[in-house]
Amino acid sequence: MSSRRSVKENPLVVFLKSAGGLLREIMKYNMGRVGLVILAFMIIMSIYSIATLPGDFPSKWRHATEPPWIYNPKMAKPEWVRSLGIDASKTSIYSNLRPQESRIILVLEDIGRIAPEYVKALGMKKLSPFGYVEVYRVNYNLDVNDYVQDVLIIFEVKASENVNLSRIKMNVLTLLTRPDGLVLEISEGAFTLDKVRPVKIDHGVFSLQYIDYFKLNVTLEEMKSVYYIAVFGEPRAGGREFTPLLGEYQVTLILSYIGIDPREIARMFGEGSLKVNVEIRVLGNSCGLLGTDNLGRDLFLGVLFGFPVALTIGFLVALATVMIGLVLGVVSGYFGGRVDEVIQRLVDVIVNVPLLPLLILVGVSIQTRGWAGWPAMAILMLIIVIFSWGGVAIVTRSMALSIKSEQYVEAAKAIGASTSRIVFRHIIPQLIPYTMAVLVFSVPGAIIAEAGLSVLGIDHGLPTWGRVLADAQANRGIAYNMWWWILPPGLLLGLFSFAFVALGFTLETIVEPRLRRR
Amino acid sequence: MKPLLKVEELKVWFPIRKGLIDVLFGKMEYVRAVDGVSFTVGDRETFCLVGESGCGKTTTARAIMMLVDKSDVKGGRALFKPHDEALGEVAKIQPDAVVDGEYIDLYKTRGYANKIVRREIQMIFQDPFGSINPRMSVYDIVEEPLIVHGIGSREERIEIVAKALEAVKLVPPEEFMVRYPHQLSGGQRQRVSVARALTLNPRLLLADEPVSMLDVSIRAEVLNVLEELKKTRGMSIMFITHDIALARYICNRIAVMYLGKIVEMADSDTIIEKPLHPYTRALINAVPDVVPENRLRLREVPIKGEVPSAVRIPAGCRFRPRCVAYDSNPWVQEYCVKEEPGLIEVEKGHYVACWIPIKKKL
Ligand SMILES: Nc1ncnc2c1ncn2[C@@H]1O[C@H](COP(=O)(O)OP(=O)(O)OP(=O)(O)O)[C@@H](O)[C@H]1O
Ligand code: SF4
Ligand SMILES: [Mg+2]
Repeated sequence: MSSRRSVKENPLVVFLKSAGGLLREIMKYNMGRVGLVILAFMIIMSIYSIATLPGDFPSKWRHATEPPWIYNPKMAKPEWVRSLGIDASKTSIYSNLRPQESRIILVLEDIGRIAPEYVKALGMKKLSPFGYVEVYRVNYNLDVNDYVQDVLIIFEVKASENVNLSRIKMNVLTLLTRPDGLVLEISEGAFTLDKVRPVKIDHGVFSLQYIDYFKLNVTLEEMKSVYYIAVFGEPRAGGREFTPLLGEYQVTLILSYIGIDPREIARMFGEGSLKVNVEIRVLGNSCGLLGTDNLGRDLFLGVLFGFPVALTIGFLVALATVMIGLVLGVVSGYFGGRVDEVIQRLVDVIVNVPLLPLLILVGVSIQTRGWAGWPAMAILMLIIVIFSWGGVAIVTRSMALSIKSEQYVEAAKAIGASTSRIVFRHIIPQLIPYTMAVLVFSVPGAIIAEAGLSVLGIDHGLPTWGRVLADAQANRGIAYNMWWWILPPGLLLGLFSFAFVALGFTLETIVEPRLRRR
Repeated sequence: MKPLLKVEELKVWFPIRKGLIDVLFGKMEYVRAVDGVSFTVGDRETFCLVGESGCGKTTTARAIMMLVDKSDVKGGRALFKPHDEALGEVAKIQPDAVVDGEYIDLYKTRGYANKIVRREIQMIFQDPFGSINPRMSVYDIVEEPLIVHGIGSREERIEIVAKALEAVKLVPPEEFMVRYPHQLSGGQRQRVSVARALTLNPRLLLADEPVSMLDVSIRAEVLNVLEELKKTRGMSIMFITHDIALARYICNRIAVMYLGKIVEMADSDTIIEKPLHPYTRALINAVPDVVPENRLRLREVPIKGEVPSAVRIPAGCRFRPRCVAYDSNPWVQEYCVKEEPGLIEVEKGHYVACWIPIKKKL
């Protein structure tokens, strides 16, 4: 009788079937659909986040004054605001650049063949006449009424072991050809290849030339405070005011390698035993999908990291809370007597302990110990779990009390079923629908609490939505009108909560048919 | 042949929650649901417990099943004679529960010994809606006793469950196994709980109004099933019903219960044909007549008043406030008022608790 074998199905199949049935049931309700769509979005973003962000991302985020963040524009608006007609210069990153030209310079005049604008504008006074020279050129179009924060040049040196980098020196010279024809020397640098540094616009380099060219009546000291406005702007009122100079700019980067025989350097570049990757970044006032914060951190990445954190922490805390409450509540209700008494007193205590002050206390002591990241977060969440299961326990206790006197529980006793069988097979399954609804409802709780703590100044060191919001608040993001810093994490927090409230209501309607609207 | 079950002076009193004052002054009141009941159920016998609603039939059965709180059992005991193997096992782990070398005092068993005797006594519960778990499939419900007692492999259990369902006419069993209680009619649920009680092949079956929810045709079928099982498996049945006509049809002996006590007990034919207790007579007279025009005639039902509360049981004979024989027999009144009649064997196998037959006999 094969059909008799099928009366008991594989538990996994049963679970998948009932989960599928539940999903279909939820989809019947508008609220449920909305909740599911948001949840699906959160899950997709979480997967994307886990797949793309490196494992050490939290520590990177914490070290805000280190690469990669310092290579970004600060307080930059999201890129897409440009298409809304907002004047924000774009950020252009030119990486994996190959030199337009390179040449071994043995005769002084040779430089003019590869960088004529240099010769024309400045003469050869600063460049070493002898060496291996590379010239990079990139174009940048300033198309809106805005300035550019900086022009940053980043080097990455790769060499095989037998190359002695400390003997090779690199001279860096950056020229900016402006739409008005002025070729401005904006930065320079000189270092050996074992100690390369990023190079930024240097007012000391361009100020004199600039003042000369425009015949301004300002001091060098005054130029200091307006340097990036000056570079991409036209002076007005003798240099007291500026307006952006729109148009096509060209950045010319001249690198000359000296210190050893230039033919030797050319050979090393040729055979690949020495590689210098050059990246030119024109840092505008817009950058990335969600802009940057005051330290140049890419807010999209910060917010992206918040997705899996919100989901996992929300679920884990809710699950732990509900499970503890369920088990202790049922044990309390079913066994009664002294066990009940002990558990109920415990519930009295934890329900009446004010959670927020306690969390602040623990949070501060975590901070003073210098703990940060997942361990700090885990401790805070543990506190939340420990002090949150009381409500569930109270309800499941009373439900267990009433189920305990059901006839089918008596019938189970009559066939000789053990206490644990009665609890796990007959009582807890009746509570699952209720617990599911509570679970879903309480998922956002932990994340909201975490956000509250962050805003109150407790730093657990993980980039979460709450943490990003707290940074915005601490750094006067509101005062600077940096809506792109505040709105995304704030809205996501709200959306997250809304999704679970919507799902919770739907589940409640499903498991408690009396609430059903027709 | 020694009886399978001996119930001796069993008392089950449920305490009533009272106000603080009563608790402080130690005044406790009780619902005396079962108030000193003695009877036996013989081997392969069908024994009937008959009585109106609230007289304590279910409580008696629950007490035998050890389902009432031990603290509510205020006296008496229930002795059960299991088969020798089980008796040996209980004797080994809990010798103090063994009485007379043959019986087990049910209320003294604990733990594993308790489980051993439970396997041999099963009960069909009165309420087919409440007594099966709404979240379990029919298969899971009927299989559960087998799992609890570790009987059979999975395949064997499926066979046993299928047979049990066939026995209660839930056919084809495959179709019913996968159903849930809400997909069953009341009668089908009742039969599921019958099937559950049968899977363990018990020696004693307590059937608490097992056919009250069934329509006449299925009722006969289920009763036949029970009768057949009794014959083929050598089962004894304690059958609870409020329907004395039904009791006569299926029982060897009948005990009539009133307000927590047995008032008359005899062979079923004897009790129907020669009832001695005024309450038994009233019960028999209350049976509706099969002839329709007779039903319309006002029949004299020899009883008066309402059932008193089981909390304040009348002094003397507890049936006195409703007794018509008391009114028509002035000579017996002094006894009725003064003292409660015991359950006396007035003829061979015919027990009655009424002063009239007792005094006449003396
Ligand atoms: N757990 C309990 N606590 C308190 N009183 C109870 C309890 N169980 C039963 N009683 C009371 O004991 C009395 C007998 O109840 P029982 O269920 O045994 O009656 P019954 O003869 O089975 O009636 P029915 O034919 O209606 O099923 C009733 O008065 C009932 O109210
Ligand atoms: S003892 Fe008296 S009151 Fe009781 S049943 Fe008999 S006649 Fe009636
Ligand atoms: Mg009953």
